[in-house]
Amino acid sequence: MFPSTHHSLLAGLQSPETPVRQEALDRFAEVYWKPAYKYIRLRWRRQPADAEDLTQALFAGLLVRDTVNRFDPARGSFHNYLRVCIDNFAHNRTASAAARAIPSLDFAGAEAELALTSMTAMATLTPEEIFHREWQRQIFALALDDLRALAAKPGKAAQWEVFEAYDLASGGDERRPSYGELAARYAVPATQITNYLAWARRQLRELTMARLAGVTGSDRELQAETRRLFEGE
Amino acid sequence: MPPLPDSVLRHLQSVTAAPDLAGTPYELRAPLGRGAMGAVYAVFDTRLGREVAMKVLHTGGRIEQEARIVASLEHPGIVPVHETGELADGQPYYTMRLVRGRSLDAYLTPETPLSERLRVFQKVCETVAFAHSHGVLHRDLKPPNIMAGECGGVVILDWGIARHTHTEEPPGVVAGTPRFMAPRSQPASHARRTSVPISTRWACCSRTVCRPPTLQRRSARLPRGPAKTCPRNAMPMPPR
Ligand SMILES: Nc1ncnc2c1ncn2[C@@H]1O[C@H](COP(=O)(O)OP(=O)(O)OP(=O)(O)O)[C@@H](O)[C@H]1O
Ligand SMILES: [Mg+2]
Repeated sequence: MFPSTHHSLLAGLQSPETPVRQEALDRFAEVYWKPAYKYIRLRWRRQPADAEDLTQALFAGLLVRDTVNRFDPARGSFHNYLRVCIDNFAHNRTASAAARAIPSLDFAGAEAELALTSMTAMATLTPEEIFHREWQRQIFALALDDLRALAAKPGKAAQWEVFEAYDLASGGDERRPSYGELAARYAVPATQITNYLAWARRQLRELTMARLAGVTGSDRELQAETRRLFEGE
Repeated sequence: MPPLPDSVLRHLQSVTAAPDLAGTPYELRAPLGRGAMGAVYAVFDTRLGREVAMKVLHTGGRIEQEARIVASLEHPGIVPVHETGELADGQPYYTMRLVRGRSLDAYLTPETPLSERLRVFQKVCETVAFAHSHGVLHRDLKPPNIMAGECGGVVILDWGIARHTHTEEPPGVVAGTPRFMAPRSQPASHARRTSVPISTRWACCSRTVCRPPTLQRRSARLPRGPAKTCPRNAMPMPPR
């Protein structure tokens, strides 16, 4: 049921070889940079430029093996360890424009997302919940990118379009088209709409699992993270 | 791609978490609850034309054992298990009677009269006593795991970490939900002999009659007054 990806994340981050470490860090940063950045902005109320530097410094710290070596899996998930690292960082450090561990991060995009985030909804969340919610959002966003790429293969265009029209409709259930409307729009029987959605959802589930497997250190942690991914649904 | 709004994120979480029932005789109706071990859904059994509850484990786990334990206990206070199986994606499941009602934490309000609290408490005790007489310890008794049904029935759910008294647990294993665990089965304590009777008293006395227990009050003293209704040895001991 779980992807058989080898959980080499921690090993990768601890590798003595720089290219291996950088590869593991990129994989890790893909999932965590946005939750980390938004968390620093929302929880620590740092200005964008400050938050950018702190985010970069955080990943630069991970590239130096010490931070990773200090992590003890017996005491919790890497996920929580990272949040504690951020808190220590944001508490102790004045940002400096020194290290740029990951050059390609789209901070302007993250700012645009923050601008759209409902601050009233955020105000009711604890800092842990903010980090957690942003982590969930990022895992799903990445898995959706993967799904779109998968659906770009021949023969899957209709599946993606139905999925996009139904499951990605914003504005809640009232704005969702009915199966009947979708069947008419794509000239297929309504049962086919069910099949298309089932395919897309199954793929999406597997892709989220694959993303999680890429950033967890053990089967046990993967199971725990899987549960947390669906919390608060 | 624009950011995922909260409403879309929640929808995607629920549709991807939902079990894939393709190839089974069941149709998904509604989610009923989600816990540490798995999720429970109302599903429609197309063969018999009735709704049942389906518990699906997040990960391959002890579902077979849980289903066997529940199936071995035939009692009105314990949901009958119908069957076990595996979904297309490998997730194990079992189906059971759908209990229409509310879990105790929702059912009991400050307005619930004492007589009703005691009735519920007595039913729980009877069911626990029955399980004990069959050598089964529930080990996670707490209000969310107990449901008050439509016709006055009181049902104990979630036998996920239950075990037979004749099976040995590796030393050091502590099972249960800390806030509701018997004091003696909390970590750093070894004597677990009476864990379930005390846990029952904590879950039920405190919740139905008094206040919820807190971890701070580790002295294991029950609140004054109504505690008289649950004398120390009121519960039959599980056979050893
Ligand atoms: N047979 C049933 N009929 C109706 N609702 C049920 C049934 N079984 C479970 N539920 C609902 O689903 C919820 C979760 O079930 P259960 O406690 O068995 O799951 P769990 O994952 O083992 O939870 P826990 O976190 O306690 O280990 C219950 O609180 C209850 O509301
Ligand atoms: Mg439960």
